[in-house]
Amino acid sequence: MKRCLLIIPTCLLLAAVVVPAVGAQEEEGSAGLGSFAGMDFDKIRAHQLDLSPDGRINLVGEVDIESETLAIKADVVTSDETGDVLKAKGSPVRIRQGDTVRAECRDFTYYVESGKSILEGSPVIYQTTEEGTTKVVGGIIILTKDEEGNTGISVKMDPGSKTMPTIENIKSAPKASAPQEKKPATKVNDSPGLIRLPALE
Amino acid sequence: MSLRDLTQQGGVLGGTTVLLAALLGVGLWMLMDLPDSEAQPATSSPGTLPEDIFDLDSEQIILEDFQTEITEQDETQHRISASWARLNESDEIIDMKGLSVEFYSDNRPRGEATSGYGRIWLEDSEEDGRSRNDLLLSETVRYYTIKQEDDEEAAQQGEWVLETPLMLFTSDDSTLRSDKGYVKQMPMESGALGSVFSGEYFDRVRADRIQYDAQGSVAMRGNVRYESQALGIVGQSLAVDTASKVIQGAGDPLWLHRGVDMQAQCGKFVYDTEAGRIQLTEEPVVYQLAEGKVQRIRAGVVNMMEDESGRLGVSLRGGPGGRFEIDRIDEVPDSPIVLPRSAPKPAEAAADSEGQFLVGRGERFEIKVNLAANTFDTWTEYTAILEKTEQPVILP
Repeated sequence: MKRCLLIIPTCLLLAAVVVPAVGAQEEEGSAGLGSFAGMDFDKIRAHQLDLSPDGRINLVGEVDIESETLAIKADVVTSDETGDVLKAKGSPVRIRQGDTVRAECRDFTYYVESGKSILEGSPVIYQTTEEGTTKVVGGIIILTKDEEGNTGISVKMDPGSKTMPTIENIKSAPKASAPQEKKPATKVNDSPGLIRLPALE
Repeated sequence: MSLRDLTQQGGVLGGTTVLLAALLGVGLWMLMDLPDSEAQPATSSPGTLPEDIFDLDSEQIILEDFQTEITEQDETQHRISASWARLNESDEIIDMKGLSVEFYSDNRPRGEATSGYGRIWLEDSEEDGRSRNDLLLSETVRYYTIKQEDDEEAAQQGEWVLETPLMLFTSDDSTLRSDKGYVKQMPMESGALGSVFSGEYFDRVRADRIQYDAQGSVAMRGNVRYESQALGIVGQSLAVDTASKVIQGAGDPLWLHRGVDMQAQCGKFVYDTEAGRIQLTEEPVVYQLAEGKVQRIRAGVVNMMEDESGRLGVSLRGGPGGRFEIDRIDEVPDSPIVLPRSAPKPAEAAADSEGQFLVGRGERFEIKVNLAANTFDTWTEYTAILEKTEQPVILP
């Protein structure tokens, strides 16, 4: 009996010392903790990380995540057990997509499968093109992707708010607090690009 | 009390413990001189074997073809035959030469040993740190287990042979003591090293000191190196505590390898097998190969824990500058562990290990154990190595 007790737990050790990929713990060739929500992140920093056995991930405290296509700075970043929903909260959440899009809001939700993004809590989006920079302000900003990859934008008022959404051309977007090395925005693991605004007229 | 008194008392010492079963052969005579070869002291070890154990300079009575039996609660523990024996001046120790010892458990023979010299303590000795009935063997001690053919469970435990310069059998802690370390005598129900350490066969375990206590706990200290197909560990200590079922390792740093795709280093490694929780602390860094890239995790504390269904949860706390960091680097740093070229094999139960043998090597002695055997532990003052072989190694 003693022998069994000793054998079993040690087998667990062998299985457990490998840090699993989030949401893909049983797949071969797992990419590790740096992959979740359909993206491979080049860098993740925070005070705490909790990956629950069901695949949910919780990043807390000065969260800073970067992939080739997306960078987020927030107080809290979470991903659900399916790996399909990524949420960020902060004061504010700072989002950078590629070289052209920067955004700030207090609550950011990204649906990996559909490519839909919802920015709430005084959201502001800056998109820089060759023609200049467009600033979008609203109560809630929703970005969607169609089957061909085109991005749609929906700007709504906050319920109870009298402030109208605004779209304006400005000289340049505010600089990010931590300049990033420029990388081409590419899709990772077939996840749709997050925020690619159409050029606003 | 002298040995002469013992014989006159019908050969029973203290009425309970040591029975002088027979005094055979030529008889007894007064020893005046011994040849140098016989008078040479045995290898000594502080606290276990006095330098003058065989300094036969007094007019002691020597018994030739001495036989005795040590009993505990009317059960035979050891039967000893010696070419000669002598009771020392304090009447508390019998020294013997040319020993053959049979060991009993539940009145069944469980092992045999031969040795050049031996000593029995007839009374507790604070000076020597020994208890009554302790039996010390020295000078090329060879111990063989006896397979219990009619006992299925015992028969599965296999046979083993141990050779060591010094062995001590004591009822206090079942310790066999070598002049350069200890050899623990394991209870029959305890697991062999192979099952304790990974539930699989390790290819090699090496440490300056390996201790295996009577409860099955293992402690390895000093230049510990554990190698198997699935797992490699290099550190300064590695221990399994059977009571708490916790495996702990430490090093500066401790290195962990799992196959070709995972490597970790930390100051301290704790695996609570009951809780299914692994904790790496003291600057833990985990490297994982994935799709040609190396992911590096640096944190203050890395916890991995399984839930009831075996799914793994991970938590990271703190790290450089108060935050953990996951990033990518070009190459995994060199470690003292050579990565196996093949993918790790699944753990293989030690219970299925018939036909494979564990070979132990030490600076001063060698130990050969069938992997199915249950009852051994050893360490040497120098490096002890345990490794798997397909064939038993014949003792020289």
